[in-house]
Order: sequence, then structure tokens, then C-alpha cells
Amino acid sequence: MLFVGVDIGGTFTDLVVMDDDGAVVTDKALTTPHALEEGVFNALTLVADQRGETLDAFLAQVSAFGHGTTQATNALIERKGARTGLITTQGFGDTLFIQRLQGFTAGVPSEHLGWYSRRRYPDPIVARCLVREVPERVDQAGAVLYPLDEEAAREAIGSLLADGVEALAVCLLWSFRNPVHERRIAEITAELDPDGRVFLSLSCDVSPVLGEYERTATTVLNSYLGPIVEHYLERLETSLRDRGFTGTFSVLNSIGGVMGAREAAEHAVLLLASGPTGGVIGSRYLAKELGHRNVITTDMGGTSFDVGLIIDGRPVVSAITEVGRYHVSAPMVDITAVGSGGGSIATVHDGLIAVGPESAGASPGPVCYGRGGTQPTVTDANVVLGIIDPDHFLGGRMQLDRAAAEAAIERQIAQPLGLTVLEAAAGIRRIVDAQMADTLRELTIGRGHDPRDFVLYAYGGAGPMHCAGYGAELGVQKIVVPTTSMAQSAYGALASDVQHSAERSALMRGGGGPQPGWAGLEAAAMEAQFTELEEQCHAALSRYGIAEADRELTRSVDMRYRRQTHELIVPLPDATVDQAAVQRVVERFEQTYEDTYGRGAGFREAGIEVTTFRVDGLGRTRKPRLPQAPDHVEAPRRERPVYDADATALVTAQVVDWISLAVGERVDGPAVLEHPTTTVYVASEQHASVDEHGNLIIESDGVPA
Amino acid sequence: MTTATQAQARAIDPITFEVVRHKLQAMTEEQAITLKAVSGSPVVTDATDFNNGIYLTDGSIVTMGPQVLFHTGTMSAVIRNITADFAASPGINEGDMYILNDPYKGAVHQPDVAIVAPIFHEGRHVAWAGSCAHQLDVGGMNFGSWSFKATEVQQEAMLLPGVKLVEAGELRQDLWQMIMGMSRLPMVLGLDLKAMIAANNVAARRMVEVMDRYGADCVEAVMHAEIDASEQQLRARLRELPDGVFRAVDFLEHDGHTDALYEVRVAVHKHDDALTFDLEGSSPQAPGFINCTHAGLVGALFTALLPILAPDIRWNAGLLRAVTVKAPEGIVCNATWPAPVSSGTVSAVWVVTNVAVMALSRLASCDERTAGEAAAVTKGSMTVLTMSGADRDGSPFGTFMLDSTAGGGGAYADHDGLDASGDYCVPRPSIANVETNEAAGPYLYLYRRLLADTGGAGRQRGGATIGLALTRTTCHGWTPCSSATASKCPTPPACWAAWRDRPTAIGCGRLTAAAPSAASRDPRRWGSTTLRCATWVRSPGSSS
Repeated sequence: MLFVGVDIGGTFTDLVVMDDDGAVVTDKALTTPHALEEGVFNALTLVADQRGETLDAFLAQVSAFGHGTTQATNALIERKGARTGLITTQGFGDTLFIQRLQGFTAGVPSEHLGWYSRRRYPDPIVARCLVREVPERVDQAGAVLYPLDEEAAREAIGSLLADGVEALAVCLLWSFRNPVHERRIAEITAELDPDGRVFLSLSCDVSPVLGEYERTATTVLNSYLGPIVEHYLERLETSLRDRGFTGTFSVLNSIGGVMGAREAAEHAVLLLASGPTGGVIGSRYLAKELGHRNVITTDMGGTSFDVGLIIDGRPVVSAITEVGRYHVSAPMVDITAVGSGGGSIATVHDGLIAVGPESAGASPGPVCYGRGGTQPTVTDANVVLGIIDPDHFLGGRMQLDRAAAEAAIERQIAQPLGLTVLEAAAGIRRIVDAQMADTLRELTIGRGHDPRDFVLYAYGGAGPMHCAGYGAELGVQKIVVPTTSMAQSAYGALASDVQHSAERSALMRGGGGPQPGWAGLEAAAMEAQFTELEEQCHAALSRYGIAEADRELTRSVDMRYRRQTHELIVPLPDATVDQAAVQRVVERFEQTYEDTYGRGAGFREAGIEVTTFRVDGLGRTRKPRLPQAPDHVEAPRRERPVYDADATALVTAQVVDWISLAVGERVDGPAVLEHPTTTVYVASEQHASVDEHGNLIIESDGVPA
Repeated sequence: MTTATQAQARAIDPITFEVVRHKLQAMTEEQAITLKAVSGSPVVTDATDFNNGIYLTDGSIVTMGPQVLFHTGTMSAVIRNITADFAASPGINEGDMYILNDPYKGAVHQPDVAIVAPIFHEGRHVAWAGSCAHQLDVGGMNFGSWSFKATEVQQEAMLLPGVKLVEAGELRQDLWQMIMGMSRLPMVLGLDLKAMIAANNVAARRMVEVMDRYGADCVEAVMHAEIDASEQQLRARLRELPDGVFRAVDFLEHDGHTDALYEVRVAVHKHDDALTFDLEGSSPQAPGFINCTHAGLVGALFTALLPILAPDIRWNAGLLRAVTVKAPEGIVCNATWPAPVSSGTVSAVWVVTNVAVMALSRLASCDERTAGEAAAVTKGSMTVLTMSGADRDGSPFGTFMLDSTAGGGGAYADHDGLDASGDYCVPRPSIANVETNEAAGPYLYLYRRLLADTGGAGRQRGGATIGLALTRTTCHGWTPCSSATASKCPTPPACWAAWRDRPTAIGCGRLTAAAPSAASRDPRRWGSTTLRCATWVRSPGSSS
């Protein structure tokens, strides 16, 4: 029996196959944007070849096919979604265009916020002429102040259908408190579109939380992407079935669970961060097996550095995520991306050096790629320093031009600064490492976490090459480069559980003045919220065929001091809420708060507010055991000179083939570990070894293994 | 800079310089994250009306955040006054923090409360960390401390000239309770003050860590060198531009007592690598709350300068070193004590920003390299709308509605102004959701939308403003109060065709100035409204 994980990225489609014994095969094929399933089949064929099987014979053994995809994200970025109509409460049809004024700074790095002349709103996802306002009004308590004008609603839907919309989104004010008007609009739509040709999303289903801009954006994106995702998944699943695949077919969503094709299409917006989430989920699976409770995941690619956190075994989740310069209000794995990657460009202006956030990306790419890039990048620096062997890049599949990289750094960086070319290249590396370390500090120390309690996982094209620098600077216990580091997202798609979250905004207030925070918070009312949400989760998990014994439900609430707008997520034990439990959850909030913002930062006198109730449901699926380290292949260790950026000196580094390392065998830094698909750098005063699963563990000397 | 520090700066390699510099900026980002997370005020969390930074021991700005820019220009004056007044007694020691909101000692106006903390490394005072945030209420005769009937500063709000609120790491309860007792919304003020204290703590802790690692000498040298670099870059840019005098005028319309016109005139003298802003010819100070002090004037000029002449230069005190400000005492934008100033930010400070944007845009449009940054005035006025009274449950309620920041943006030579652009003084603006506001207080929106044809005409048009209508949902003790300017004197366009290859007019932000509009429907519907109002407020039961 085989398990397959696929990650369809912008450039490559990565594939991981694992068998019952945990043996892993990875491969990649170019992504085929015109028909993504082609790239998937190309990669499947490559793996079948590796195994000496025909594609059909290979597929017949696959029991689970999980995949992550940037397809939804790309459709959004390229504005290739469905022609979508939007229905809003009268008077609020511009909400999606005003964007709370955040649209023209979304995605702009803080260094560039001062360029007022470059500010632009994003291209719309709904044409203004396809927005209809209908008379109706519900208030903050859920009371109907003005009943839905059904004639107007009928007229609005009819005119949108006549305008040829392929999808409809409905977002009315306060609909998450009282969905009656949105539901009625759905009924009228069904009357006018009896064949169900139009894809319909209601905000009370897609994103039932406070905040009409984000709720509208989320609902519209769901409709905008739904038809495309639906067609694509249908096509892919059918073509797999046609070739003999009989296992379960699932898609990884942005909260790190898998969904079936139909559910994924209905919740297309949840696929927007599917790709990077896979890396975090793969890491979580690995971390659980390795006994790492707290993990910082770092994915350094060509253009960005993506960071996620796993705390107490759970990925940290954020309530609002910015995608394609819109804001999605649905819980998603919190991934912070900054513009530091292998393609980050180094420049000197007026004697000051800067690296990034501009990137040469994959095209034209670094100078050493010889594809037209002229500005030196981080990758060029790594070639000049001797960390990347220009003759063996990607297992020798791509020849790099070291002389060109050297010339670019010499002319554009070293000369203007009066440095040698090696010093300049080392400088580029030190700066980018420090930037990443600063980001990691903000995300850990800045939020009350001590990095010394964490293990750092490094993957992506450039992560293993730089983790020695940013990991050491951060002061983590140890660094893990997973054996699946070159396809970590695909691994996540393979390793994920079924996940369904249900949440609801409901404001409850306690305390204030001299009273304790729990005074006035009613246990029974809280329990009622959780009960209802749990029913929803159970129903969803049972639709997916998860037996009751394999379900795991966790409760949490968002809490804050009254009048704050920023909440902390506080977990509750899985037991009926009683008054003692209410007291414990308030105490836990206050403790977390002070841990995060410092002693005395809490302000109990303001009172406590519970704003959102949430149940996260997990359905455990059958999974392969962790991979075993493959037998090592004898290969001689070599040496080559490498300029160590921190030591600022030429050192003699051991060059070791990763696959030649036996379990437990130690390599002292400075060393370069080469693998057909990645390069790992181990700095001076660090050492590395391979664990029993084939992962590479890097530790600082002096820290007991 | 002393010769010794220059020598140190030269000794630091450019790589270490960039690494340490990035850490200083990261500290300021972390200050902002902390402040927003702890604060309970929508003014801070949604409208980002605050700023943070790191300053040299003499108050020079080293780093600042992308929030309200007015605050930053004034922080140097805050620190310099505290140093001059209190270094001897009660002293500036490790673990201390001072709180200040006196506009004659550096605040822009009284609601902009600053808390600054000296940072010590190994017993030596090495820098300051500071935070400043607009407070919903700091006392005085009206809710929100917008004191439209005031004739002197003593009536407007509490006045904190620099008071040691935190002493050796301990919050002084006596002062804390005194300050809380003077506010109508002590809970909100309390959270915000705690937020600023937390933000300063974060910066101080981080600074000590960085100095431990790289050495205090190194970090201090980087801070000085960073300021020098920005100064040199701005001077180099100024040298590229032609010498000349660039003038602009704009108006304030009402002083809270009478409907009089006040002029704000600026002449920007650009000579070689320096700029002089001359405010000679501006009207004498007003008897009402529209004035600003010297601190507000500097904050306004700094704000105007940054996006036009320094969008690609790191923002710090170096930019101010190339600038001289000449302003006679006793004018509306350099008032002398005890003139009232509580509306200064949206009155004199705002209009100084307008004239400076106009004059600097004319200068910028003289050279192809900077012409792209020249713009018409963005949102030439700011409508203040406060609401106070009883909440749904009868408890005290008050808010400062910032939807009016969604006015129209000024046009550029090559593209239209932004619809709903946010204020010029805010690099990363934001407004609250309608639902967030309705959840927070007893009122209901009838609409919030873009208003057609509110963008000024031109080959490139100005951006459209939003308009909104509100009604209250409870009937007891509810007082809306709105003030706005520029309903009568539209903001003039910023620049004409000075650039020879673009011989066309640039669209102006004329009507975009009047945000949010739907103005002056029927003044009888305006409860206790005082000035001209740009927002339509309806009470339950009224017929329209």
C-alpha cells in the first residue's frame, strides 16, 4: 500500500511517496500552469519509473492521495477567478472597495510604506457594476430592524444572472448573528437558478464572524475561486480514477487539515494558503514523532522566508490572513513571510549596503544562473563563498557560473564598499541571516516565547543553507533539516489529518472594576455555544467517514480585556463548562497576557470579554510510520575552502554526501553536506549527525546531544 | 557629531552597520506590535493614531514607525524639554518613565500623550525609547478634550509637563490615580498608558541585548551614522533641485468662537542643500482651539517632507538637520502660551501640512527625478466626530470616530488620486469595520460608501471620499460633536506644470478635502453640534 503527497507549487510539482515500511521516494516535475494535472502525472510517472513500475500498476497500490496546491492562490493573483456578483446590505456596497483603507498597503514591505506615489488599490475581484444593494437591516443583537425587501432581492439576483455571473456571494451586515436574510436570498436564488448553475456562497456559512469587510472579502473569494477549484479537482480525481486509483483523494487546506474534493470546492477560500501550510503540517507530524513540542518552521525559498510556529504540538493559527492583497477572515495556520530568499538582491547606495526585499526570483534569477540576472543575490554570495558547488547544483542538473557571480559582487558591492569580494559576499550572507533572525525574534520573543524552548526546522531550497546562521543567532536548542526538506509541503499533504473547525462570534462580558474577571460569565451559556459547535464538527467528520473513536475535538475561546481589539486564544479542557472552569479560563487568560506583555501589563479593572467560541475537530486518518533512514552509501569525504561569514575567514570545510552518513555519525563544522536536491551548511562550532529516520540534526558544540 | 564618534562610525564595517541598523528598526516594529496589542482604544488599534521610536540621548530621532507621522516630529522636543526641566530634579534614572501631554512642552495637542523612557546600559544613559498615542479623553470641558469653547489652554484638558510616572521600574500609584481621575474614560486611558509603558519596556530590553552583543560604542556609533546618512542623502537630493522660493497659502475657517478666516502662509526657500520654511505672513494666533505650538509646526513640516523628498531615505532626525524653520511668535501655527490648542492637529497642524505639501510638490516637480512624488494635497481637512453619552447598558460611553480619515487622495502627474486614501500623515492607514463600531457603541450606520464626483477634476482626478450617515439607538444623554474645516475654502491644487515635458494641469484634491460629505443637510438636526459639520447625524424619530 502506498501513500502519495503532492504539492503543486509555482515552479515545481513536488511528490512524496511512502510505503508501509516508511520508505520514502521524492521527485519533482515542472508545474504545468495550463493544466495542472499534467505536471502531477509527469511527477507520478517519474516516481513509477524510479520504482520500475507502470503508472497504472503504481496508482493501483495508492491508498491515499493528498495534495496541497497554490492553484487557488495563483487564480487570485492572476485574477482568473469566476465572474462573480455580490449582494450587500443597502448603503454598504462599497465595503469591498474601501477595504478599511488597507488595500493599498497590503503586502507592501514596511521599508516602502513611505512611497506614497506608488500606492494603488488591488485590481478588483468583483466589478463594481456586479454589486447589488438590497434593503434589509439586522442589528448587533441579531434583531431584524428592517425586513428583507424580497422584490428588490429578486430583482438584484435576476439582474446579476442576466449579467452572466458564474458565481454569487452574499454578505449582509450582522448575518452571523441572524442569517435569516442571507438564507432567504439563497432560496430566491434557487428559484431563479433552478439548475444550480451559479456557485453561491453566503457569509453566514463561509465566515460567520464579526467584521463585514473581511467577511465580505472571504465570501467573495470563496465564490470567485469555487468554480475553478471545483473543475480542477474533478478533472484531477477523474483522471486518477481512470488510471486505476481507488484510494481516498483529499486536498490540504490552510488550517492544515485535509478535505474531500466536494468539501474543498465548497470552501475554496480555505485553500488559499494550502501550499506553505503543508510544510508546517509535515513538520508537526515529524515533530510529534520526534518528541518536539515547540517548533519554529522556516521555509526559505527563492523569494521569501516563511515562518510558522508549533506550540505544544499545535500550529499557531491566525484569525485573519492577507492573501492577494485582500483579507481573509477564517482561521488559518499563521505563516509570516518576509522578503528574504536566495533571490534577494544586494545593492549599495551612498556607501550603505542593503539586501532585499527586492528579489530576482526564478526569472531572471541570480547572476550565476546565467539567465539574464545582473544584480548579485544571496545565492550568488553562497556560490562565491564556496557553500554552493557550481558544478553540483541540484545534483549537477544545473551548471552555475561562479565567475559571473564573483564579477557582479566585485563590481556592485565589494568595490563601492572597499571590501574584498569574499568579504562582500560574506556580508550579504550575514545581513540576510540577521534579517531572518530578527524576524524570528519578533515572532518568538516578541510574542512571549523563549526561542531556547524551541527546535528549529529548516527546509525549502535555501533554508538548509542558511539555518546555521539564523538558527545559531536565535539561540534554539537544535536545528532539524528533515529528510523530506526538499518536498516538505508534499509531505504535509501526505501526513495530514482530517480537520474541521467551527467557530462563532458571541460576545460575553465578565468582571470590571473591583470584581474578578469571571463574575458575570455564565457557564451554561458558554457550554451551549460549545455543544452546538461540537455537533457541527461531528457531522462534518462523520461525512468524511471518520469513526467516533478517531475524532479529537478541542475547545477554545478568544478573550481580551474589554475595549481591546486584539484577542488571545485560550484553550478549554474537554469537559462540561462549570463555574470553576470559567474561573480557570479567565486566570489562564490573565497569566498568558502577562507572560506575553510583561508583569503589570494586565488591566483587570477593564473587565473581560469573550468574543469567539471555537471547536477544532480532528479526524485521525491511517498514516504510514515515520520513514527509516535509508542505508548509507559509502562515499569519501572531501574538502574545499569555504569563506565562513561569521568567522570572516577562509576555512577548510569538509564536504560530505548526506546519503553517505550512517545513523549517528558525526560531522564537525565547518562542513557542507550535499544532497542531490539540497545543500546544508554547518558552521564552525556546530556539528551535525543523521538520526534514525534520516533527518539531519545540527547542534552547537558545547550543547549535549 | 563629535570627532570621536565619527572615527568610531568609520571603524564599523558596513556589514555590521547594516545588521545593527536592522535590529534598531526591528525594535521599533516590536514596540508598535506591543502597543497595539495592549491598547484598548480603536484610535490606536484600528486607526493607528500613535507612533514609537528610539532616540539619542539628546532627543534626536533614530527610528520611527509607519504610524501617525505628526507624533514623531515632536518627540525630540518632548525629550529635550524633559531633560532641560527635570534632569536635576527629580532626575532621569534607570527604570524611570516620564509622561507628557503639554503642547507647550512638545505635545502636538493634549490628547497626544507621550511616555518616554531613558535606556541605560551598564549604568550609563545611552538612548531613549518613546511612545505617543492619541487618547480618547484627557479631561477638560468637552468629551474627547476637543475644547471648542476654550479661550486658554488651562480649560482644555489635563496638562502633564513631564511627570515621572514610573520610578525605578515601579508605577507610581499616586500619580496614576490622579491622571485616571481627570479622564472621562479612565479604563481606556489606563490600557493605553500601560500599552505605552509595555512598548517602552520592550525597546529598552532589546536595546540592552543588542548593546551587550555588539558593544554600546558600536550601537551608538551606528545610531549617529544612520542619522548622518539620511542627512547626506537628503542634502544630495536637494542639490539636484534648482534653487528657488516656493510659496503656498491655505486657510483655517472658524476658531470655535467666530467664523473668521485665518491664513497659513509658507515660503520654502531652497538654497543649495538646505531648506528653510518661513511662516512669516501667517495670521496671528486665534482666541480659540485651532492654534498649534512650535512642536506641532515642526511635526507638520516633517510629515510633509517625508513622502515627497525622502520616500527612499530612512526617516530620522538627519532629515530635519537640512531644514530651518522660521516662524514669528504668536501666529496661528506658532502660538504663545496660554493660547488654546486642543484642535491643533486637525486645524493649524493640518493646514501647515497642506501648504508644505503644496510648496514642496512644486519644488519636486522641477526635476524629472523627483517629479513623480509631487502631488496635490491629500484630504485637505479632517472632520472630527466624537460621540459620548450612555451606552446600551447605561454605562459611560465615548468614542472618537475615525471613519473620516477615508477622504480622497491627491492626484499625481501620472495617475489619479486614491479613493478613500487615508490621511497624509499615516503611511499605513486603516478604519474600523461598521460592525466593530456598532458593537462598541449605541449607534447605527445608515450607509458608509464612496461618494460620486467628490474627487477634484483634472487630467488626473483627485480621489473620492467616503460619506456616512449615523443614527443613535439609545435615547439618553447622547452627544455627537463634529468639527471640520475647508467647507468654504477648498484646498487649492498643489502643483502646476512646472515640469517642461508635462505641460498639463494636475488634478487637485479640491472636493476631496471635504470628507466625509453629504454635508450641511439641515443644521437643525445637529444636537449640540458646534462647527460646520460634514457628517449627517440623525436622531430616532426624525423624519428624513
